Amino acid sequence: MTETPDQLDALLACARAGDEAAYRRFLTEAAARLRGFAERRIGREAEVEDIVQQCLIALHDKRHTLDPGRPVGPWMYAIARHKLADWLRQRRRRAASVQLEELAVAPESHAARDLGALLGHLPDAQAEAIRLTHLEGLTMRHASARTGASVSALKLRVHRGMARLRRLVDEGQE
Amino acid sequence: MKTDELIEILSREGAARTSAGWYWPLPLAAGALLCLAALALTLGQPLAALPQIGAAPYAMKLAFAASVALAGILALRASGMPGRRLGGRLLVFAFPFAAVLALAGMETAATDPVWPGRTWAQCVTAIALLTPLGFAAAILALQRLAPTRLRLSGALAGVVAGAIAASAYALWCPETTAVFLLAWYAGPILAVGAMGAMLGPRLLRW
Repeated sequence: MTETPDQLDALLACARAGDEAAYRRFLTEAAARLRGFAERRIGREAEVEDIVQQCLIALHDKRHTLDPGRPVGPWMYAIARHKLADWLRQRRRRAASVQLEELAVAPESHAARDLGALLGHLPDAQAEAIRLTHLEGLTMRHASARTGASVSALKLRVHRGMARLRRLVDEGQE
Repeated sequence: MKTDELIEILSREGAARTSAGWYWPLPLAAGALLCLAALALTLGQPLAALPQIGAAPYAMKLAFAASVALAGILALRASGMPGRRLGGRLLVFAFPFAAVLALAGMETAATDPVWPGRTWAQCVTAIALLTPLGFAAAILALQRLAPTRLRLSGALAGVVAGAIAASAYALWCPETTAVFLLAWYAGPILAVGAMGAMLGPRLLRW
């Protein structure tokens, strides 16, 4: 599955030693392989990029589950298969439900209250990021000024929070 | 968000190992201590039957339950590491169960062991009441890792929880036969494992 089996291993080893550029190259190379992996399974759909991003965040958040010296490949693809299966299950269930990304609801509506309740299940920082940018309609820059967090940190929080919200909604429908 | 942008953010956070490495089984240790505390509060002094039955029955039951717990914890960790094979670790489980089965067989052939045992109800109740503690602990421990085989991880969480509860109860258990051990220790542990396999996909999603 991997043409150059050692490259990711070497890059991650450098990255773990504190080399930020090596980590960037690791993630870029991992993204390319994950893209190929997802395209082979679901075709060249627009959502491929969403899956790639979810996988990258998973690799990053769970990087402590690869013991040093173990090959990256089997670990990375096990996570990718897990995330892809999860995504496919969510897509089946989401068919008839709302696209959370496009929510722009009036503050007094039922939907806003439901969303407010859902946000309660998220870590505070993620909930605040979504509330500011999606409910109050602030731009990323304004939200950043309001919270003191950098724009990129906010985007990451919104991204993670949205993934979690989707899961909550899906579980609610079971 | 563009993927390049995400990569930029993540790479700036860096790849230094997060500290979740060594302390992931701490919830399990806490669960085991809670089990011991609960038993001490309800059943009083441990090893109370020592003068009548000697140390061997205690040692036999503790050795069985603790070795299942230990093998379970090692397999549990591997099941939470994506891409890791489990083969040999699962095989290790067979040993304590095979040993108890053999002992129980010899016992039945040589004598006519008491059935179902005077305190079987107390044993099953204790394991049933204590298991949720260990199970919650095992699920918490797994959430620090990255389980990708949720049924397997759930089953292992159940086995570990049952085995921790049984290890703790073994210190209060006055029974002496291997038949009792097979029926009221090994049986409940496997039953909890089956329940864990059913709950795993629901509890361990991430």
